[in-house]
Formats: sequence, C-alpha cells, structure tokens
Amino acid sequence: MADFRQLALEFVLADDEAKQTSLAQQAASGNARQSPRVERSALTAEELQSAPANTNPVARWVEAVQPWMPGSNGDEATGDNETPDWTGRAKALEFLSRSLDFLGPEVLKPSQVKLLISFFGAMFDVDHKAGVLASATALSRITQMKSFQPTSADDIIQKICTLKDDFSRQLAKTRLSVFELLRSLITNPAVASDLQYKHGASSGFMNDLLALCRNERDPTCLMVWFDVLAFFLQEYEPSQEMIEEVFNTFKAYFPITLPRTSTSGITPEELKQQLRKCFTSTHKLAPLTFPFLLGKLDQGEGVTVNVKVDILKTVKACAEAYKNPEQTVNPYVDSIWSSLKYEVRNGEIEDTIWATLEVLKILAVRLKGDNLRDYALTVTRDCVNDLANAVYTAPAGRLLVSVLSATPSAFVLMASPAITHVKENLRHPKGPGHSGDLLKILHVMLETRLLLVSTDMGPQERSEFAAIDTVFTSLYDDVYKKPLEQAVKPEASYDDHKLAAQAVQGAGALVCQKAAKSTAVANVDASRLLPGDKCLVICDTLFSIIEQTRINEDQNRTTASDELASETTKALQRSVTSYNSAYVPHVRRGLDIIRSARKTESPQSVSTVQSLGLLLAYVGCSELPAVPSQGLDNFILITKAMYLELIASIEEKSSASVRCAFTACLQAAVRCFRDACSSIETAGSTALDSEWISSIAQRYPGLEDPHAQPAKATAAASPGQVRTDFLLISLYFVRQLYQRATKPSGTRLELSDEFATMEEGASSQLLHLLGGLAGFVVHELSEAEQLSLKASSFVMHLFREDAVTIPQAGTQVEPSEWSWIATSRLNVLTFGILEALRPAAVAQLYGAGVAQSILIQSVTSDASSADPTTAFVLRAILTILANKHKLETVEPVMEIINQQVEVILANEADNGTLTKATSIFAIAAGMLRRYSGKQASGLLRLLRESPKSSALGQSLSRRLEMVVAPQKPLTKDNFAIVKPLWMQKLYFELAKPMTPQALGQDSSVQDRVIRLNLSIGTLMLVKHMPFSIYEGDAESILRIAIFVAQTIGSGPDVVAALHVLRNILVEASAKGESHLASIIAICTAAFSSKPHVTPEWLPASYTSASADDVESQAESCEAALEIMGGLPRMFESRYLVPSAPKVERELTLACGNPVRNVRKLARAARAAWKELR
Amino acid sequence: MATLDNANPTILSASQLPTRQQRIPLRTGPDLKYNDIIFEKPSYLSRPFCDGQVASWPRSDANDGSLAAAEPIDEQEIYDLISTISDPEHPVSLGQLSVINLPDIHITPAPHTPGVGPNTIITVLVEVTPTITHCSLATVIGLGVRVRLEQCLPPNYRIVVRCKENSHSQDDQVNKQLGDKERVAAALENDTLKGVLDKMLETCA
Repeated sequence: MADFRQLALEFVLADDEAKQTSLAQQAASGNARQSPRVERSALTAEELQSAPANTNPVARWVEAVQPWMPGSNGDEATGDNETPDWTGRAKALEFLSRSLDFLGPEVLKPSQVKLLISFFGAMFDVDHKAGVLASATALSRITQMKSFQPTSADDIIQKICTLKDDFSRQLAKTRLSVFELLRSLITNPAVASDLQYKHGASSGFMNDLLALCRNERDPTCLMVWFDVLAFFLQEYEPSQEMIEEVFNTFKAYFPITLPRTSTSGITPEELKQQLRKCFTSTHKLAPLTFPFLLGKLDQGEGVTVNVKVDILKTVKACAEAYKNPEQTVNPYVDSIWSSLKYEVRNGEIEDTIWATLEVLKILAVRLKGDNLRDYALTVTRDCVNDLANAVYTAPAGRLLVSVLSATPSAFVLMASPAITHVKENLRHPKGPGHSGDLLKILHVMLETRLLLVSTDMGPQERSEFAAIDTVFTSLYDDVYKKPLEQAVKPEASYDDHKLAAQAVQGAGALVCQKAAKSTAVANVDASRLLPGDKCLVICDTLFSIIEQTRINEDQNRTTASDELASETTKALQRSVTSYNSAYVPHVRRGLDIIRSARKTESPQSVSTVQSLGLLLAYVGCSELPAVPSQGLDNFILITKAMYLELIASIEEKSSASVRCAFTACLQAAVRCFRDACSSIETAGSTALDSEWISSIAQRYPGLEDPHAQPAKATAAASPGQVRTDFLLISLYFVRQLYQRATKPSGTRLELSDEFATMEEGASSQLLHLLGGLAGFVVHELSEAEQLSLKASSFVMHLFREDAVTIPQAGTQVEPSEWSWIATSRLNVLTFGILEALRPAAVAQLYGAGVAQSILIQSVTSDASSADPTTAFVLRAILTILANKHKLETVEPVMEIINQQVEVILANEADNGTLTKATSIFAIAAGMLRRYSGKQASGLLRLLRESPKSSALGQSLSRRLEMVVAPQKPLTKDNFAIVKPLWMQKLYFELAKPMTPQALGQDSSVQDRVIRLNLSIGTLMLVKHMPFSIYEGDAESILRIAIFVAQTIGSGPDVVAALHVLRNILVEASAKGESHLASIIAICTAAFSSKPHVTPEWLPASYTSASADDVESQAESCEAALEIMGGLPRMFESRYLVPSAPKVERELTLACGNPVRNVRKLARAARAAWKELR
Repeated sequence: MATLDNANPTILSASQLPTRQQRIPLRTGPDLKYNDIIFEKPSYLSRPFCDGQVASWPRSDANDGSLAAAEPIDEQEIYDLISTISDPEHPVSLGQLSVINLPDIHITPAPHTPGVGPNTIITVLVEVTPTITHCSLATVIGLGVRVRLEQCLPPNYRIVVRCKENSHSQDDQVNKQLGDKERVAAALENDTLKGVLDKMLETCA
C-alpha cells in the first residue's frame, strides 16, 4: 500500500533539484522518462485505482495534503507573524489535481465525486490564494467523470461565484481555467437541462456569473467567456430581462480591439468574430443589436474605418443569422437603409463601401414578399434621383446593383425602374463622365442578369423574371446605338471614344443575354434574348468600330482609342462566342479589307493584314461556344482563309512582311484555339491515327482549295475529338506550308525558289515563323501522340514523305547523306520541329541513324556555312540532339567527338577548327545539362583546355559562355532534360580548375595572353551562375575580374568582369576590401572618357573588336557606375576617403556622358560619394 | 517662420507637369496577346549563341538601340533635375508651384548643335518665377536651383539663375545676389541656410 503522504511530500519538494535529477536520470537511462512530478501523480493515480476499496484510498489520498492545509498544524499553529506557505499548499493541491489527470473516468464512485466536489469547491471560498487554479483544473477533470451528477454543476457554479472580487485578482491563467470549467459545465447538455429546470427563465446562476466576470480583459479568457455567453443565449431559454443583462455585458466590449503588444496569440479578427458570435446568437437580440449597432455607426467622426467595418460586418452577420427575418430584421430595414446609404453615397473608403453594400445585399436576400417590395421601392426611390446628379451617379449605381443583384425577385422589382431612369438621364447627360457612369450601371445590370438567369428559380419566379425581358430587348436601340455609331465616325472625339469604350462592354453583354424562359432549351439560337438579326447588327457595328480605330491607329492614336479598340475586341469575341452565326460574315468582311490591302502594297498594308488577321483569330478561336464543334468550324474558317491568303501572297510575290503577317495570324489562331481547348481533359496516352493526312483530307475536304466551301466539323463531336481534330488540322496546314517552302533535289530537299529568291533577313524571319508554327503544334502533342504520328520523321522529311526516304532503323547511314537537314538554310524548319519533340521521339532519330549523321558531319566538317544564321541554327540543333538523348551511349559519335577534341587541342589551327570547336561546344551545352560522367571527360577537357590554345584561345574562351548561358530550347518547357545540380558540377569541372591557372598560380601556365584567355573563360562561365556556387572561390574570381578589366579596358569582356564584380560585392562586400583601390581604378577607367592604355603584350585583336561597340560601352559604363554608387554604402568611409577627390572629379565628368541613363547613374554615384565624410 | 509669404499658392498636379514626351506605348489588347511570343527574336540569334555579327530582326530592333543612344542634356532634363526641389514654405515641389517652368530654361549653345564636345562651355539659364512679387525666399529658391545644378552637371556647364523679369518687386537685387559668386559661396558657409537648402534638396532623386 502506497504512502500517499510520502508521494505528496515528494511531489511538493520535487522542484528545481528535481529537474536536475530527472535530466541526469534521462541521460543515464538513455530513454525519455517523465519528470518526477508527473511520475508521482501517475503513481498516485495507479494506487488509487488498485488499492482495495475497504482501505478507502480516496480519503487517504485527500488527507495526504493535510499538512499544507490551513487549520492543521500549518500556518495558523505556527503563530500569527509567519506567512503561510502558499507555495507549498498550491503544490499540494496541484498534486491532487494532477493525480486526477491519470485517473480513469470510471474509478471514482458517486459519493467520492461528491466529496471531491465539495472539497475542491470549498477551496474557492476558503483558499483563493493557492487553491483556485488547482481546484478549477481538478473540477474540470471531475466533471468529465462517469459518476459526475449534472445536479452538482449548480453547486460548482455557486462555489465559483463565492470568489467574488477575488476572481479579478487571480492570474489570467487561473481565470482561464475557471472559464474553461464554466464552459465545460454550461455547454454540457445534461447540465444545461438541470440548470434550466432549477432556475427557469430567470437563470439566476447567470446573474452571479455576470457579476463575477464583469471586468474580464484578458483576450484568451474573453474568447472562452464570449463562447459561454453565446451558447447560453442560443441554447438556454432565458427571460427577456436576462437576455438584456447578457447583452449589456457583451455590448460593453464592442467594438473590440487587441493591444498591439498582446502576446496571447489571438488575432484581433478572431476576437471580433467571437464577440460577433454573441450578437448573432439569437434572434431575440434583434431589438437590442440593431439600434445599438446603428447608434455606434452614427457617432460620426469618431468612428475609425476599422471600427466601421467591424460594425457593418456585425450588422451583416446579424441580418444573415437571425431567424424569422420578417419579425426580427424587417422592423429595422428602414433605419439600416437610412443610416447606411450615406456610407456609399458620400463614402470615400472602399473597405467601408464594400462592407455597407454587403449589408444592403443581405437584407434583400433575407426579405420576402411585401417586405422585399417595400425595401426595393425605398432603395429605388432614394437612388434614382441621384442618377440625375453626375457626382452621385456612380454611388447610386452601386447601391442599386448591390440590392438588385441579391435575388431574382429583387432584380425583377428593381431592374425596370432603374433602367428607365438610366435611359432618361442618358438623354440629358450632365457631361461625358456622367454618361459613362450611367452606361457602366447598365453594363453591370446586364452582367447581373446573365448570372441570375442561370440560377435555380421556381416556375412562378421564372415567369416574373421573363416578364421584364422587354426592358432589355430594346436597350440597344434606346441606349447603345448612339454612342456606338458616334464612335464609328472618323471625326469622333476623345470623349466619344471613352464613352464608346463603356458602351461596347454593355452591348457585348447584351448579345450574350439568355431568354429567361428557355435555359433548358437545346436549341442555342432560341435560348438567346435578342433575335439573331439584332445580334448581327450589334456585332457588325462593333466590327466597324474596330475598323475605324485601326484606320486611326497610324495618325491620331490616343489612350481612349486604344482602350476602345481593346474593349470592342473583347465585346466582339464574347458576342461571337454567344452568337456564332456572326463569325462567317465578319471573316468575309475582314478578308475583303485584307485582300485589298495586300494588293495595294501600301505602307499600311502589313499592319492592316496583321491587325485584322489577329482580330479575327482572337474573336473566333479563343473560346469554345456552347456547341464545341462550332468553335472548330470557326478555327477551320480562319486558318483556311489565312493559309489561302498566304499562298496567294507568295504567288503574287507580295512583300516578305505581308507573308510574315499572314503566317503570324495563322499561328495566333492556333495559339488562341489551344487556349480554348485548354479546359478539355486529355487522355495523354491516346495514340493518333498514323494515316492522319488521308483521314483529315477525307473528313475535312477542300482545306486548301480556295473554291471549296469550308468543311464543317461533326456537330456532335466531343470536346476531346475537337481538340484532336484541331491539332491534326493545324498539322495539315503546317505540312502544306512546309511543302511550299521546300523542293526536292535528288534524295534531299532544298529551299523552294519562292523562298530562296527572297531577301535573306526576311526569308529567315518567314522560315522562323513557319518553324515556330510547326513547333507549337508538335509541342501540343503528348508523348504518345508524337510517337504514334511518327513526329520524328517530320524532322527528316519535312513533310515531303514522297521525296525523301526515311532509313529503316538499324541500317547504316552515311554521315553526309543527312547533314542537309541541319546545315542548309532550311534548317530553321528542322529546328522548329526538333525543339518541340519529346525525348522519346528524339530517340527515334537516333534509331534511324539520322541524329548521328548530323552530329558527326558537323564536328568533322571544316566548312562553315555561308549564311551566318544557318550556322547559328545548326548550333541550336546540335544542342537539342545532345540534350534529349543519351548521347554518351552512342559510341561511334562519342569516339569521333573525342578524336576531334584531340585534333583541335593538338592543332594550331584555322577557321575550320574554330567551326568544329564551336559545334562541339554546342553539343557540350546540351549534354552537360544532363550528364557529366566519364563519357563526357573528353568534352570537358576540350572546354578546360581550349583557352590555352594560342591561336584560338581568345575566341574559344569567349564561347565558353555558350555552355552555361540559358537558352530557350534547353528549358523544361521544351522537354529538355536538365539535372538539378548541373551548374554546380560544371563549376567544379571547368571554372574551378581554371581559376589558379588564370591567376598564374600554376607553373605550367605562365603566358600572360593564355592567362588572360583563361580569365575571360572563367568569367564567361561564372557570369551566368548564382553567387552561392562560386562563393568559396569568390576572392580568386574577384581578382580575375579585376585583372581582365585592368588589361582590356572596355568591351563585352569587361562588361562580364564588372557584372561578376558587382555580384560579388553585393553578396560579400568584405571580399572586396583589400582590392578596393583596384576596384575604384577599373570602374573609374570604365566610365571615364580617357583612352585605355593597353599593355604591350596584348594582341590588338583583343580590343579592336570592342572599340566601336556602343552598346557594350554603355553597358560597361552603367555597371561601373552602379558599383561606384554602391561602394559608399558597402564600405566604411575611411577606406574610400583617400580616393574621393579623384573619384568625384571623374564622376562630375561622367555627368556629361552622352547616354542619358549613364548620366543618371553618375549623378546618383556622385551624390553618394559627396556624402562621404 | 512665423507667417507664410504666400499662404495659398496655386498647385499643379503631377499629371500637369511637363514630362519627356514619349510615344504612346503599343496597344496591348487581348487580340495582341501572343504578338510578343510570335515575333520574339529567336534565341539562336542572340548572344552568346551567335557571334559578332548579330543578325537583325525586324520587330525587336525598334527599341533596342534606345538605351545606348546618345542624347545630349536638354531643357527637359534640366527641368527634371530642378522641378523636384521642395519649396521652403510648402511641402510641394517648385515644379508644382510653377516657380520653375520648362519654357524659362535656356541652354546655349542649344542641345544637338553640331560640334559641341565635352570641352565646349555650355550656359544654362534658369529663370525663376516667385509665386508672389514680394517673396522673401526668392534668393533661397534661386540658391537651391543653383546648388542642385552644380551638383548634377559636368564642369563645362555654366549656371545662371535669375528671377524672371517683372516677377519680383526687387528682381534686380535678387539677381545681383544670385550672380555674385562671393555671396553665393558665403551663403553656403551659413549653417542655417545650408540646413534649409538640404531640406529643399531632400526630395530630389
């Protein structure tokens, strides 16, 4: 049998030293043990549970704390002068309460529970210094016991109330435990029914509690207390007097805030919500809350925005939550309206206005029948007068819309009178702004109708809704026609354009309106509110506006005409999506203009073609109509038209820019339709028919025939089918255009005569646009789709499957046989497709041996292409091929690359070697993002050693940038394979070994020119890396940057050096401290106009190239000045003051630099240096 | 300062001040949302993937050269430098009070004159218009303008600040003070005055 006294004593004594022993024990035993105090409590609980009943363990347990209790041999016996041992007693009581935590809920018998309740309850009365916390915790535990009698709750509450004024003197933590005890009691259903039975409606216990807790201010306690009050009001049925009492208690806290220094972890919003819960707890509070809250609101100037928003949110919550709105909310509607309308009418703060509108809206939601009618009438009456006043029109509109948008019934009641008044005022507007506001109100009402018409309505409600349809059907003629027609006139003013920009939005929304009665009607045409011919007229006018703004575009464009053009485009797109029949006549009309522009070849023809083509593409293709196949019809219509126009312009030898414009429009249509299809779920693994060409030609005949009617999609086509057909049709057009651009020549292809004879820059752009179109379509195909369509073969035959035979997998391919697809001018077309291929499709290129042949040919061939663009494209192709396939496993290619590496490194070579080396660099750029293992060692060696070549080192070191610089084909979006830490690996493989050599720390490299090459190479690599990668070597790299800048003076190398320098200084300025004089010197030299003195050993080629490069001159000036401007912030003035006079002189001169941005930076730097003292 | 010389001056809003006239940027409507992508200069034609001879690309060339283009210091730039100085009496800028006006700034020889090099002496004349004819702070304002320009312009610029004719009852006195190098230098030694000037120039970017 355990000695409870001993355990209690141990518990009380186990304090500071106990912690030490527990730590020691924990450390020794190696497993986490509970602290001794917890252990004692657990032991005690165990004993209580296991001790035989006849030994009366509970009594012994309670008696165990006797020594600390008053009246024993404790405080009173020891004489009056000594202070009682409060701490000991508190701990002893805690011992009891903690033991209860470990006690099972079924252990204690009812009599024991009763005994404990009276014991702990007495503590509130007799021991308010040491006993409250422990008693409250213990009682909370006891009330959860199985044998707890709900009838005891009243006793507990009464005992608690005996604390009286001492309650507020307790610590917040103690009070919280009492509040939690109260909450657990009052929210307990059994207790609740007992309390109600005992006290009835008068709820006397609550009176005592209210008196007890009156002065509570702690936020955590208040959270619980508000909970108790809200629950009491909601679930108990107190008398009206009691309700008032409770209301008076919590209203005193309103509006509630939290001191900024509060550390309770409760946010002000939580506290506000908790208090709001009290207000909304019962509808019986309505006569109290509304007058109280409105009174608070009407206090005037003293109410801050936050408080106002809080009040409004509370009013809204009450109006939303109270039952029987007819009795509870309706009586206060008038006073709420008359108080609140001014918040919107004269309000300036958006937060308050929004909160007010929410309240007004919720009133309309809650009211029904006559009450709603009265409310709607009041709102309408008060607002329509304001519509005549330009200042108050917008707020009146917001008020009207907030109420009428609440429910269909409110809309039916208010829409008609509101529109009548808007129309009336539009006839006599007070100014352009006034008309604009009125039109905006109408537009918002139309949008509201669009939302409401698709909500669930009963038959009665729907027929009422339909009854006001006539108000809307006449809107175009009554309201919109005039401003729209005014905007079409060539002499339309700025204000006309502004107004029309508002009107077109309304007109667009009007076309989209559905008839109220027929939401379920399958026929799309019959479900529209306006008849088809009216829709067509509106769309036609919108088109005319766009045409007119486009004519104005070159001469007198203004922000208003731009806004009008954009808004009209949006409105037209909406209208056409809703009324699809309008699209065909618009395309016809647009094409007439486009054709005449193409034929006249005027300077504006390109912009006409482009702007109208893009417009038609956007209007018809950017959203799927209700019947998805109609969208596909639109797409076919516009792409076919653009394709035929492009072909015609090629045949008529129109200018290259016109052809580019058509190609761009075609691409825009494809991109827009992709957006429209983006919501369609695609099953990524579906394979497509490999015989897609014949299938498309059969299902959509006459796609490229100018005389055939545009083919239509099957009306019942599913969205998935629409997407697939869209991609295949796009691919079909791509195929036609690719065929047009190429012609067979033996077993290979070359550019067709029409492209070959074009001016070079223009043909490059046109080919790039074609390639871009092909790439976009291929990019949209999933991996399964690419594989099933054999997309890799597109790269090989460029859609001329008749002229080019694709090698079977496994057959031997001669390298020279396939190089044409990458090395001739049509490689732009190849590149377009290749960029969009997924790795699995690129693997097929390797399977056919074509990729290998391209790679081998380009690294072994000395000849560089005559056309520089072709050479640049080839590099990009090599990069992609090396990235999207495991090139390192293709031994023949790797072998040849490694051989070439040896040749290049051994050879003091010529231009041919440079070309080869550059090709290998391009391959490295692709491969090293994915793999840098053993097989890549040859490549890495070339990259590392290339700057050491005395003949080519200069060029090659600069080209190292190619390997790290970001490029579009190597992004994940283009399915490139990029390993997470590739850049870090590259740094350790390339830049790190080069650093000591560049600094001359390696005895094998002492030539200054080679050191310079290595330095430039390092900078070019590091330039694109984040600082964290080279942080460890930052000091060495800083020295390299200084060395390069000092030696060369200006040009792209110096720009790179200054960028790296700036990065290092920004991230770790301390590294620059010992080099400050050099940094200042090189920066000053970079922006100073004095000529740079080149060292004698430096070959002239290093500086000659950059002398005329204005762009890099300005760039280096800017970088240098940014560094100079930052130095005073980074370093203490004592480091800078010695050089200040010279720097200031130079900065003063730089303030006269010819480039404006440089001057600006110079002035900032000058001001920063001037402040040095 | 016990009473204000002009307690209620006319203040212009920021949008009414002259700014460097820029062409309205190209329209960015919904129909043009893919223009940038479609006409983008391909990455293979940009550095470092193409070397030396950067091939031209029709659409992007238009705004490429603007950053590095040479643009001499003109009246608007001088205006931008001094119009942001705060008024010593009111918390608004001299530009907003119309104390500094663009037509009252004269540069000789005019910008864009051929043959002007970094060593040519260029004179900038700024005529200040006090808000009222008896403004006691005209000299302080003039001094502020002068100090600001001296801090911002290269050494070959000579700065002349004057009161606009008939804008001040004692304009000859004010002009004399502002033109006297000795007096200007002495004024800058005065700590109180220096404090006022620093406060005025605080708002200059």
